[in-house]
Amino acid sequence: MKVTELRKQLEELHELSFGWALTCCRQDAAEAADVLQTAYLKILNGRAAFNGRASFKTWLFAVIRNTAIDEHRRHWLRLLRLGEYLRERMSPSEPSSSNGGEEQEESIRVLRVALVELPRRQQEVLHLVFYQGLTIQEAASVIGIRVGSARTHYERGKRRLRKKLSESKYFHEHQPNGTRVPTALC
Amino acid sequence: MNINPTEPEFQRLFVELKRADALQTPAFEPLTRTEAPMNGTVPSWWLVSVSLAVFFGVVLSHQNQIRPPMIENDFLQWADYSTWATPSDELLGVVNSIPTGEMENPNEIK
Repeated sequence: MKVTELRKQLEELHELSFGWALTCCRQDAAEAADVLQTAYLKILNGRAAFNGRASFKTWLFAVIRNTAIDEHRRHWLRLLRLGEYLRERMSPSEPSSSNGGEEQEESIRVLRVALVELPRRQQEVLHLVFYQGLTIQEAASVIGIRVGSARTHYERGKRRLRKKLSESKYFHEHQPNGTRVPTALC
Repeated sequence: MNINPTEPEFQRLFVELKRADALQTPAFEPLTRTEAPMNGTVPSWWLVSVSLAVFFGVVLSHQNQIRPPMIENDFLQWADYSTWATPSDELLGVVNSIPTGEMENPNEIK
């Protein structure tokens, strides 16, 4: 595949790739952008070559995931920034602005926190299925696991996420008594 | 409203998340250039390693100033060896000074 063609495909999938990179980086936007840059350069420099065995999207997501894992290993010294690290773990980064209301932002924040607290595989499978619209088989191919395992992670992830959301203070406060219902769940 | 989200509700939540993520997606072009850190700041791990290197450099140079250099140490050691004497040398000196009873010139007794 030519570089111009690669660039075009990458650009088309850019937003979705960023969403996936966020999941791979536990919702850290700065780290996700770094990972995405490294992955793009790998692809454009030919260090990661598309062999056509899977769809381009599946292959790209696998490259992004592997890059995120490598970067995480390589930058273990970031843990020296313990204070910052813990702060980021406690409250994942939020979008700077939103067109929606406060309630919508809050429901997204609650979802982000709940997702970050899930085991990595469950988080990845749920993201790939619900966010990216991939099948469980495609999700398994991105993560590099068997379809059976992916299905297990999917079921367990859904159960856990449901539990976490129903436990969250926000979702409890917005029970169906008519007044305040998060738009995301209307 | 059901507080236990079912699958379509999950899907709706993820659609909202997708919209929110789209607002913070960085531009595509800058990410395809080989330029260093996105945020333009020096990573703190780099600052930590440089400051550690400077710290150890200062400590090592300070220690070298306190401790005499090796050559000087060697000279001092050799000087000590050249003036060194065993306790038995002292004893021999004492023994030699004791008169043995031999006459210096036996022909004088006549």
